[in-house]
This record gives sequence, C-alpha cells and structure tokens, in this order.
Amino acid sequence: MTSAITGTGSAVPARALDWRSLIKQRYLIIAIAFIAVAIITAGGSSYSTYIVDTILLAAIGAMALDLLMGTGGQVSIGNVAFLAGGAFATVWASRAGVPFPFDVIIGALACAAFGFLVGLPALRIRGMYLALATLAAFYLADFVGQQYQNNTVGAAGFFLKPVFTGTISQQSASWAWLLLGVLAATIILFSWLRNGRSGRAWRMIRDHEIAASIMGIPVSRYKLSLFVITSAIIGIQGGLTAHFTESVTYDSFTLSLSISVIAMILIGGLDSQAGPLIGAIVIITLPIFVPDIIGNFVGSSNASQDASNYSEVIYGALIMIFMIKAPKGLVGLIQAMGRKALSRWNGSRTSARPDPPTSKDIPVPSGTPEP
Amino acid sequence: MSELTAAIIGGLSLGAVYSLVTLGIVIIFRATETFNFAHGSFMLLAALIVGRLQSHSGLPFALLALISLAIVGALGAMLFRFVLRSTIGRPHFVAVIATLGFAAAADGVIGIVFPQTEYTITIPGLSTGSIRIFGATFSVASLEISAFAVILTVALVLVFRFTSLGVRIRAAGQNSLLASQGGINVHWVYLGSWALACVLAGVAGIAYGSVNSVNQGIEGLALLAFPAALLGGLDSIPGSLIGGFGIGLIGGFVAAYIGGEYVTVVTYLVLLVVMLFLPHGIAGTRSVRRV
Amino acid sequence: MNENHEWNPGGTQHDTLHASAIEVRALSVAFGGLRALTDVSASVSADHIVAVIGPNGAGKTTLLNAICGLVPKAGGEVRHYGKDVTNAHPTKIAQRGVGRSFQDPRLIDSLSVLENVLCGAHTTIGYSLADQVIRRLKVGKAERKARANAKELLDLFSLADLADVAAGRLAYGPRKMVDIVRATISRPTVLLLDEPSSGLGRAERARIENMLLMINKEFQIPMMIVEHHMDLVHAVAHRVLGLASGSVALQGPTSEVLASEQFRATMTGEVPVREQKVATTDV
Repeated sequence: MTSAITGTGSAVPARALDWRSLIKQRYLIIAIAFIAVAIITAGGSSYSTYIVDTILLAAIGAMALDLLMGTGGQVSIGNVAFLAGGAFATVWASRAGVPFPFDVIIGALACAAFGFLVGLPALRIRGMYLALATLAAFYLADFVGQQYQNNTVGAAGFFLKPVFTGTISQQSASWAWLLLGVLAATIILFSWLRNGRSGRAWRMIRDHEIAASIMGIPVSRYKLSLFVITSAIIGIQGGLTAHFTESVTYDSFTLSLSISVIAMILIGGLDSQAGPLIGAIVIITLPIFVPDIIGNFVGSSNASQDASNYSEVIYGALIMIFMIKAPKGLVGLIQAMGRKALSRWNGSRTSARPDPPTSKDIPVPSGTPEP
Repeated sequence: MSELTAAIIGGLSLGAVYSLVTLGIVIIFRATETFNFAHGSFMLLAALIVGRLQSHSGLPFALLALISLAIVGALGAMLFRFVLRSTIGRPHFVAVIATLGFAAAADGVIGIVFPQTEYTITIPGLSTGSIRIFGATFSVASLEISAFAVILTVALVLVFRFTSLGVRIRAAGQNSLLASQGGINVHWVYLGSWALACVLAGVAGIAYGSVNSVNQGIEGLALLAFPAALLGGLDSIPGSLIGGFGIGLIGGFVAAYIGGEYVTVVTYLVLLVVMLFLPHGIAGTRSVRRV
Repeated sequence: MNENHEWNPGGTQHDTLHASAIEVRALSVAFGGLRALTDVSASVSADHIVAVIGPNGAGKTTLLNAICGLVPKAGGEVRHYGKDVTNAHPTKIAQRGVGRSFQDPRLIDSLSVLENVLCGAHTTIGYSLADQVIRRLKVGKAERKARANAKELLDLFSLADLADVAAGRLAYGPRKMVDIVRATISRPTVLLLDEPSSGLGRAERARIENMLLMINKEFQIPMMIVEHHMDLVHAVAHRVLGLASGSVALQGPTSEVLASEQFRATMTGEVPVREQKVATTDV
C-alpha cells in the first residue's frame, strides 16, 4: 500500500508530517512502551512499576488533551474537570454496584455528555476566551464533586476496593499491563481519527476556521464531536485513576493539575502522536530527579520535600520556553534534527529559500474576520 | 434582615477589592490584549513578602509595602519584557498560556521560599473590633480596607480619564500605530501598564491579606476578577468598578442566602452567560471580539 | 453533492436548466454604517470566467464573501444555479459546490501539500467519523482513491514533486497554486478566486493563467476571479465586472470593457482622453 504512493527516489525536500510515517510511528511507540513495561514489571521495584503506571495513566489524558488543543486548536485549561467527572461518576457507578471496568465506562459516558455541554459554548467562543470559559467547567465539576462527596462520605473521601489481587508488586504489574492496553488502544484510535478526513477537518478548524466552513466542513459538528471524544477519554483516565489510587477526594483535582497536563503536551509537542507520552514521562519523573539535581546546586536538605514545588517551577518555565520558542515540542525538535541529518546525508542542502512568509504574517483581506 | 445586610455590605466590601484587581486585569488587556493568569500569584507574593518581612524585621509597614510592590512591579515588567513581547503576532492564547506557565513557576517559587506557615499582615492605623449594622457583624478593618480600595480605584479611573498621561496611555492601547506616530513611546506604555497592573495586584493582595489570612485563597480572588472584568467590559477602565462591585454583590447574595461554597461556581456561570450573551460587558466597546 | 456521495471525479450534479452558475441581483451589503456593496447585479454563466476588477476598497472581496455566505446581506439575492442561497449557511453553500480561494492562501503549514489538497476534498470523500473507527477497509479504500486523484491533479499542474513537502516550507507562489488545486479537487460547480496572482512575478502569473484556463476548459468549471493584473484578465476572462465604491461601474465582454474609456476612468481615476491608445495597465 505504501509503495503505491511512494515518491521518486531523489531527495525529497523537507519531509512533512505525513500519514506514512505516522502509521509506522504508532506501532513503534506501542512496541517501545510494551518493552518498557515488560522490563520494569519483570525486574524493577514496585516503586518503579508504580511510576510507570502513573505515566501510562497521565499519557492517556494527555493524548486526549493534545487531540483537543493540538489538533483541534480548542484551548482548554479546565480539562481537569473531566478527570474529576470521570472519577466521581465512576465512584458513583461503583457504589451503585457496577463492577470494574463497567463503572469506568459509565464514567466515560458521563464525561462525554459533560464534554458535549462544554463544547456548546466553544462554538461561539475561541482562543483565550475559551480558555477562560473552560474554567467554568472546572469549577462546576469541582462543585458537584464537592457536594457529592460531602453529602455522602465527608472529607475523608471515597475509597474503592482493589481491582487486582496479589501483592502490591503484583497489583502494580497488573495495572501496568492493563494501562498499556488502554494506552495502546487510545493511540491506535487517535491515529485513525487524526489521519483521516476528521483530522484534516479539525486542523482546518484550528488554523483557518472560516476557510474550513467554506470547504464544506460542518464546523460545529466537528467541534462538538471533538469535545465529546476527548472528554470521554479524559474521563476514562479519571475513572481508572480512581481505581488505581483506590481513593477519590475533590481536593486532588486542582488547577495545577490542569496546568501540568498542558505542560505535558507542550513539552512533548502539540498535534503529535508520541508527544503526549514523552511529555507525561518528563512531567511525572521530574519530581523524582529534581531533588538530586537541585541538591547538587543548592545543597538544601529540603530539596525532596520541595520536590513538587521545584518541579512546578521547572515545568512552568518549560511551558513558557516551549510555548514561545518551540511549540512543536520535543517531537518537533527531534524531527528538525532528523531533517538536518537527512539533508547532510544526502550531500546537498535542502531548498536554500528562506522560510516563506507564513499565512500568519500576511494581513487578511478586509471583510473576512479571521483569528 | 441581617442576611440582606450581610449580602449587600459584605458584597460591596469584597467588591471594592475585586474592583482594584479587575482594574489591573483591564489595564493589561488594554495594553496587550491578553489575560494575565499569573495575576493571583502577584497578589499572593506581595502579601507574603510583607507578611514575612513584618514578622522577621522591625521595619515599618510602609517601607515593607514599598519593597514588596517594587518587587512585584518589577516582576510584572519582566514578564512582559521577556515573555509577552516574544508572543506578539501569534494568536493571543499563546501569551495567555505563557502567563499560565509563569503562574505555575511563581507558585512553585512561592512554595519553596514561603513554606506552609501562614503569615499575618498588620497595617498600623487600621481599626480593630467589629461593628453591627442592621443585625450583621462586620470587622471595621475590612470596611476600612474596602474604602481604601474604592478610593484608590476611583482615583486611578479619574487619572486615566482626565490627565494627559492617562489619555496617552489609553491612546496607546487603542491604536498603537497612531499613538506612536503621535510621539507616544508605545513600548514603555505597555511595560508601564504591566508594572502598574501588577503593583495594583500587590496592593490588593496586601490589603486583602491584612484582614483575612495570607494564603492560597488570595489567588482565588484573582480568578474571580476575570468574570468581573468581563462583566464590566474587558477594555473599560471605569467598567472595572461596575464589574468588581457587580461580582461582589452577586457573591454576597449567594453567600448569604445559599451558601459560601456556591460563590465560585455561580460567578463562573455568570462569566459564561456574559461571554455568550453580552460579550462586550456592560461598559466595554462593542467591537471587542472573542476570537 | 453531499458528504455521502462517493468520490466522483467526472461528474457534477447541478441544475443545468438555469444558465447562470452564479446570479447576483441588486445585492447590498453594509457593515455598520458603511455600505460595502450597493445594488450590485451580475452573473457568471456556466462556462465562463468573469473577472472582477476595481480599485482597492471597491468591494470585490466583499462580493465573493457575500456569495459564499460569509456576510449578512442588507438587500438583494444570490442564486446558485437558480437556487436562492442568499441566506444560506456557508457550509451548505460550499456543499452545493461553491469553491473559494483566499487572497492569502490559508493552508495548514504542518501538513503536506497532498494533505492540504485533500482538505478540499472533504465533501467528496465518502466516509463518516464513525466509519473511521469501525469500517477501516472502507476508509482505506476511500483514502487511497482520494490520494490518487489528488496526486493526479497536482501532476496535471506540474506540482507533483511538491506533494510531500510541508506546506509551511513553500514559497508564496506555490502556496497560491496549491490553494487553487485545493479548491478544485472537489470539482466544484463554480469557483470564486480572490486575487490568485497577487504578489507573483510574470512567470508564475503565466502558470496561474494556464491553471485557470485548464480548470475552466477541461473541467468545465465557471469562475469569478478578483484580479488586479490586467494581462491575466485579458488572457482568461470572458467577461469583466468593474466595481468602484461598492457599485457596478462597468460590465461586459472582456475585450470591449478593457478598451473602453469608462474602464480607464474607473480604474485609474483619469479623465478619458480620446487620442490616447489604450494600454493594458499592469496594476
């Protein structure tokens, strides 16, 4: 199939992010993750397995946020609303007697409906205003969760029974395999969505919304479906996290958490397949490595206590750096390095033309209000 | 009756502080057409600096306040100079996400430099004790703080409207090309706007922190100021008073008649309604686009 | 044409009883207090290219926007093959086969040229969002077909070697060409082009000229083109519509219009001098 559309053998200037490389890429990512999980569950400590579990969980939601913000261009800083929604809905279903994993599925469906509601204002509000509007979703979810918790179990929060049997180590390993499966399914599902007609439609809506409708793309329908899909997936992360940590309290869902997920997708690279996972790895492991690094510089004994604070400083700075300098994130940087290496390999420099004026630089003709 | 009084006076009292914070948000919006999600961090930082220095040194409050505001103002100017300036020409949400990153970094620094202990701020000359009005009890100090906030906000609104400096600042925000041709150094106006807005945030933080406790709740204030800015009109300086008091009153009534935990969610639902049905707010210019 | 139709490169489905692809009658558009278009009447026949000319601010782009459904009308009507689309939603108008390019080519920089062209085929690629998850075979088949067609079209315009290049790396000229290909891929029933040759040098203008002629003659797609370059207008347009200050200043077959004194007066603001030979002004 791929050979039918292969170009000529001569050097192709500036390979784009095209569907061929993505098809290979997703299986590569899954394979690497599989190997990592296999190694760590076999030989590592239960602590390292726990870290892997956390990374896998975070990556699931990060992928969804990347689809929403990176591919679809819908700026959402209230995304933790769906984590909370998924967690509390799952708890509710679980307490109603629904067994795992069906309670998580119910949680996902609830989040899908919530996502639809959140998507409605997004039809008329964009950019930084939408970001502000998504805070409303966050406060709403926070409020509902708070009320539900306080009216049923109080400040201690909800507790769930373990899903797997065996020692802590064995349970962590079981979780690792389960989460790997969920992540793999998400990666594959998203690659189907991002590479087809809907991916092109979402990107068109992201970059040139008015031109998108001129092409016959039903913008509202695509925006809503995007919110529904991504909310459901984030809800799945929420539900799975609830079962993984075996406890749910409303105060664990903070704006900081939202910002950390944004950091993940920015660092990894917006609108990329591997980006969210890479970003999740960076953000989750930051508090682990940070005390050692900081300890060398500052020599403070409080370094490990302040690990989360130092991490926040670092990923806050990374958000600023990546947002300004490298919106394509680590994935983009790696691709750029790869392109440079490829051109040097081919012996000739790629097109010596200076970067052409992008559409952002050229003023839009009058009469066409365009972001 | 006491609930009504609590609602109205409590709401107005808090609204006064909101107005001050909202004014800062509006000033920034007029300058760079962005939201500053780090606003709350500046408020908290200023309060923490005063609180910590007050308990560790014997320096007079006025000096401590000046130091704190100078630091916060400088940080705001730096945020503009190094971060915001690099995002010109790109969609606005880029700058806004950058301020979000700054807020995260600032919160991390705050967490390291000012660990868990709560600080209190004592402003000399502030009355103590409480007063009963129509059955509801209020602390005199908080009423005095609110009065101060109102006076400061109104003074600034008048400065912007009637002094030549204020007019020039408004012009720079309105149309930077024309303004710069009229001899106004637009870059300094933007820098100054950011510094001023952050100083105002600091003042509000210190003021609020003196009658309440100095903790994360202060940042929550800033988050409620965004709905106030939208209600009053994002580009309307006098609108900040309308929006601030409006949100304050709404919050006051909700807290008095329904419950304190409803305030934030109701305020943000108001934000949604305003964004969808009254995007330019009460006093903003019609052409403010939500794109 | 609607989303459920299979990709159908050879055929267009429209009501051929009415001769005009686009008919505009007494159209008025106002923005606030500003009248952008006043009482404009014009038409594009099913096999013609109509060039819209006029000084800046005359309302040319507004006319295109009005036909596409992007601006509210203060009066008059727009018909597409006889059907009243005056108040129709832009997406519905696009799905009827009204294609559009913009003066500034709005491409997705991070995607390849091929992918960008495929964006234009949205209405003709026949699978749904649900299909993308549950009917992979159908999706694969439709994508392969669409890509082959896109490649063919790019090849027709000698752009095939750009197929895998990221759109963001293209120079301005190729960007404009890709934009036109994108607008053409779905075999629209009428094409509205906004300054397809603006900012281009002579050689690239010649290429655009050939593209437009090919699209019009080979694919039988009528066009309304906003243009400033009179050499291009002369080469491709059957009729010319001249706008000035939102009203129709002149209208008629190309050769007549370009030679007339009204044309010189309208476009250059000069008082016509009888003895002067008419020169094609390269604006």
